[in-house]
Amino acid sequence: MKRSLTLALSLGVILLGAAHAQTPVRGGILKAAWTQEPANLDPHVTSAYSSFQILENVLDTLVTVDAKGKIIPSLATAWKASADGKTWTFTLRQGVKFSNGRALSAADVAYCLNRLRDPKTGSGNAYHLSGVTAVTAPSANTVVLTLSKARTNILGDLTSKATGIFAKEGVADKSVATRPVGTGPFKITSYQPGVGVKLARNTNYWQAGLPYLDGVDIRVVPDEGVRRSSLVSGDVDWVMAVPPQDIPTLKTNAALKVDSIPAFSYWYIGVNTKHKPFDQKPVRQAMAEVINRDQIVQGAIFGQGVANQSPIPAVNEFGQTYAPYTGSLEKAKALLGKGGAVAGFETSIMVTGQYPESVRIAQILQAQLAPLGIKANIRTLEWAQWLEEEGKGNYDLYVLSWNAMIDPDEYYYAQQRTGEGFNFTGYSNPAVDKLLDTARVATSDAQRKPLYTQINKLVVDDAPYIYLYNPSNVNAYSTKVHGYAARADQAIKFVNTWLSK
Amino acid sequence: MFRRPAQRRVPLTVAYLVRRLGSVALVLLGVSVMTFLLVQFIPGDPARVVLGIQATDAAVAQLRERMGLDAPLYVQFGRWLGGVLHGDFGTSLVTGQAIGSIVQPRIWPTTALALSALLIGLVIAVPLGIAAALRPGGKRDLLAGLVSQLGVSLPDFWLGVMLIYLFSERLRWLPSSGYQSVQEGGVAGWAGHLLLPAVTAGVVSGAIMIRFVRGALLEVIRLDYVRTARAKGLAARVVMARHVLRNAAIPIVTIIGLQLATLISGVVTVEIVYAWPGLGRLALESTLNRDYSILQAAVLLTAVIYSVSSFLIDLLYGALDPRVRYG
Repeated sequence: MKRSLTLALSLGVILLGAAHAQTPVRGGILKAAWTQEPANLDPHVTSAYSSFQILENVLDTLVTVDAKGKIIPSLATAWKASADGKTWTFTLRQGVKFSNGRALSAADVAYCLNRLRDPKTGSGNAYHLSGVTAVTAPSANTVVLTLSKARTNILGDLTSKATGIFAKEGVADKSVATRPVGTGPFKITSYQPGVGVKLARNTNYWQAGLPYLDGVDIRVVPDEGVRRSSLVSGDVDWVMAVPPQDIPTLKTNAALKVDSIPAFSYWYIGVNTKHKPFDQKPVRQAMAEVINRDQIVQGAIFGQGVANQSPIPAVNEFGQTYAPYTGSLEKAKALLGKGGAVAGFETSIMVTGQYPESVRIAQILQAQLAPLGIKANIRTLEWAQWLEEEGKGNYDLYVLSWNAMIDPDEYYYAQQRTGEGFNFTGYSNPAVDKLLDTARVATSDAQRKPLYTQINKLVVDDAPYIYLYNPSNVNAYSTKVHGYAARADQAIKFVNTWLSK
Repeated sequence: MFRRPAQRRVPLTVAYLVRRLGSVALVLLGVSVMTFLLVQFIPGDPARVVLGIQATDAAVAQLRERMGLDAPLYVQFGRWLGGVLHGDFGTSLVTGQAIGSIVQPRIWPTTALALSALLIGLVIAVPLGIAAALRPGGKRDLLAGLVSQLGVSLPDFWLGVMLIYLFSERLRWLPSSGYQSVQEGGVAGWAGHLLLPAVTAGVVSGAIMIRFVRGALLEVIRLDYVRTARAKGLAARVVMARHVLRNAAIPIVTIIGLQLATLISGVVTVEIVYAWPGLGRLALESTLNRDYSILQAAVLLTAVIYSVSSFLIDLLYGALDPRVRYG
């Protein structure tokens, strides 16, 4: 009975929703509040995520991702890898124009990608094209990338806005730093440092009839409480992030929608496998076993996340659900004994004020590790120093996140393969290395999925990283905003967004 | 009192000016060296921070070279100072833009906020300061003391958030934050965005000035000629306006000048709360981004504003009070 009532109710809700689906209205300016100043809008120079979130609406890439992280066409309508996986050929969409009216050609694409990987550019984003030895434009609508070693995740890299295509005219007069000209739905009309960025509809946009909005007025509001006030007062229509503690109240406001989704990024504990007693796998497993991830999600991020023992969230194409740790204290004690640390030990967790949640997570971990006899001191460092210590391996445990992954390879390769640049834990497992090398050159999802399932199981069991949760990406906006959805990849796309009167 | 011959006065004034300018130059040089060294003592590799966590070691090494971080300290400082003396503050490490083009758009919003905050501060401080000084220990004096205490001890951050909550979120009279130029929003839009931040900064500044105004007036009120004026049967109000205020002007001008310098060089918290594009917020953001070249320029600019303000105050002093020139 109860179940049928629920069913009837939810059906009713669905029908109501369908009745409310309206035809999009054209026009209007969306007022959006960003959390941080975009530092620079040259996609090869900036490392600020806030800049990429603006470029999302201005530049197109060869390929892009749908909401589940699946690669879909954008400027390229088709692509093919050679049999050895070292040559990738992209066919460009016909009739695409830059917002300044000039037609896009393969030479523009080659120019941008070559500038990104040119050592003279000195781009911190050049890693997206690592292993690429040449980018050429053999014809007006063909672009060819040549790699020294096969890797399928090059497609994931080509979805990054760092590989976005802009008109090279802006490089000579340096306007690319403040107003790059792209082929995306909007163009930048003004950039005021400290104030914000104004976007206007690109009338030359290749998707007919889009975007609906006349423009987007992006302003930077650093204080989270003030962002909330701006939204509640109707000063802005859309905000990038709201204080987690305010979410329950905002949800009761009928004029607003709080839109939240577990992000592709993950938070984790990095364990130094070169330091005693963490060189013993059972000791790492004991910690992974005893910690309560739900408590961490509630306490450190006010419930704005989903606890996860594997890094890739379920919403992703390659989502991993392997979760062997049960939270049993007895089991954890037994593991600790097996690792030769039965009486516990003293250690430290390295965190940084740059990411306040890392400090809160460490405080909760302190309490959760105590029953094992592990006394964890919190070591708070200034961000630059934190990075240095991590690089040198001067730590026992640290807490941080990895952001903005598209390809499953980006979840494991650089962090877990022996001797890779971002493997700061000293973890080394030949079986994992071999699987990683195979998986990154396999080209079909059917081949790759079982490989990543195996890799994930090994890494979670070995516990060089103790995965904690996938944070939620939260956007909040007025109910007048339609055709927008928060995305797991944290991309902010206003291309289909429209405003009702 | 007999007048000194006029020709004696000029060289002395010039000597005084030269001496003051020399000390301003020394202060600025000292500030430059200090800023430069402070930046050196910040732990961590600036190149790594600028490029972000996912950059390769090669890219970091390259940026270090481009930032000139490989050269010895005195060479780095020499390069920087040489540039500054030619009016070239260098380029931003993070955005590659010329520092001048980054700092310049901030000057007008900063000045507008500082001047309006000062005006609001004076509107609070002068009447209350006078009322307090007329009857020390009286009811009005207590009230002025209370207002001053309250204004100084309220965190401007909290005051800002409360004002936004009241006037923007609840009453919807004023925008919650942000900046609009006159071209964009007209005078009304510009003033509407300016009002709350100006009130927030003005309350704090006014609270500080109340004490100075009161103190300066009390100093003068105790002097003989005031007693004489009162004895002549002049109304207290007339005595205040004609004799006391005029002579108390010097210390009051001083505090106004210093308050203005403080407000211009950045009311950081107010600028952050209201998302105001001021110099203080720029300095803070540059620190967080490790954009040392902007930070150095912003600190130097602040020092210039301070030194020039106090220099002008001294000149004004000299004009108001001849004793200063020969001191």
